[in-house]
Amino acid sequence: MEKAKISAYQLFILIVLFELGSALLVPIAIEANQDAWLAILIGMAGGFCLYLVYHGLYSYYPDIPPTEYIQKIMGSFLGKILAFIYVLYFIYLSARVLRDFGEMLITAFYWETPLFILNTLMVLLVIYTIRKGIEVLVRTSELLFILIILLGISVLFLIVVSGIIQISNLEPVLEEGIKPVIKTTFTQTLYFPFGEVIIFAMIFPYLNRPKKVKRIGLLAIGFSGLVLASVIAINVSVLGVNNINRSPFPLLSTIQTIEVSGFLERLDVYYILITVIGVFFKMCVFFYASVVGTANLFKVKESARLSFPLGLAILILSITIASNYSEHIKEGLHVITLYLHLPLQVIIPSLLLLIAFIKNKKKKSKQSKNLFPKRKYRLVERDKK
Amino acid sequence: MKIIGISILMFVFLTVFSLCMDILLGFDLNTSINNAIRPFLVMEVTEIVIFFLLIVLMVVGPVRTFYNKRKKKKETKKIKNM
Repeated sequence: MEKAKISAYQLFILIVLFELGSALLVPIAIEANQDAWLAILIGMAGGFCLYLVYHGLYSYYPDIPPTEYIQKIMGSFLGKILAFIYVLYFIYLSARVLRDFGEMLITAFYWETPLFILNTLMVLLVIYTIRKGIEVLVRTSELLFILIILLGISVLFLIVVSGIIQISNLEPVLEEGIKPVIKTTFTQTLYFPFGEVIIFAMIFPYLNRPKKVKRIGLLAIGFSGLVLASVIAINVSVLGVNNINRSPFPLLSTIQTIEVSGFLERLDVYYILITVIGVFFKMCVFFYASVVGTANLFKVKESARLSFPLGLAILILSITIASNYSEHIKEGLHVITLYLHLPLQVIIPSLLLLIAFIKNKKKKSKQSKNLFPKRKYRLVERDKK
Repeated sequence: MKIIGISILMFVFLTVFSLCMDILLGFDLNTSINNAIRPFLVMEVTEIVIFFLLIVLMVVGPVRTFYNKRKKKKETKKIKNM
């Protein structure tokens, strides 16, 4: 582990940018139709619970990353296998985010440019950032967070001014009952983007004030959940459910409909800026966690040396991951959630927390038992004296 | 050299991971392997050049540090023998 420290405020920004990263890019919770915003909010509540599980594990082992404490909880052999699976999972998710980014640019803006070139540019940037360390990453996030906030406020202002919001598109609320919303939550929004905060378990040990991890994390998840829910509600109210279902990038379509006084239009650049910054941070966090995890698992002293080869692996994987965009999205929203996110974000961390709880309880009871004979011994010695 | 070994190991496992996801999506093994390989068969010249450049860059760094370490070891042995 590198010797770096990040503040609670920097963690907050990093979590917010991470959560919004590719969630603003791809169409999420569209199965819930006009209640998509509700599915996001319920997902956010589930995200709080998952975050508390990850924080619970962190509170038992505050100075070491998950790849190390998994080995302490599960034993060396099984723990190493599990840690290796987690590292693979982080790299795989990083490749997925990279593919999202490349596909978005190709579909919307760079029709003639090959996917490989766009992904290469992004990967080189991410590798460079990770080689510089986590402190550089968080300081960059502090700078770009202000830009994102300004962009968001101006986009919201332009949408409201252009008068394209139709609240009637959000009605009727819960047309088919709460069931589809709950189903969408537990098959999608709980894991993507809220469950993905598991990656921050790799970053918690770098915090300078460990006591604030819980509050700041919950605040960040709450803030990003509210932003995401309002963005999706705006998308639905502007485009309507039918258009949302057909649009590969709903936020882009919403921004493209902005037209103020007949001259302020084609504001696609807003979308590019927001998504490129978001995806960059999301990829950086995933990539950093995978580099640190690999270095920790294979006992590599300088983790920065792993960044280029692993970056190349991510680049190749992002190309081979799916043959087209629709396959990529279907795989991401239906297969990955069930077979990867559910076990690796929910089931295994909960089991680990349970085992850690039992182990620590046993330790405590052993320690308290050991204390009494010592006390007796001391008392006897004192009496002799 | 350890770095290259680790990255090759990771890459192999990641490819298997990706193929498994394709199979779970409903493709058979042959189709998923074809889907994985096809993007590299239709690359343009510039893409191929950049791709191989990246691979060369990946190999050169670790190999250079490996030889430097070996040289240093030999030199220290020579000094000890003297």
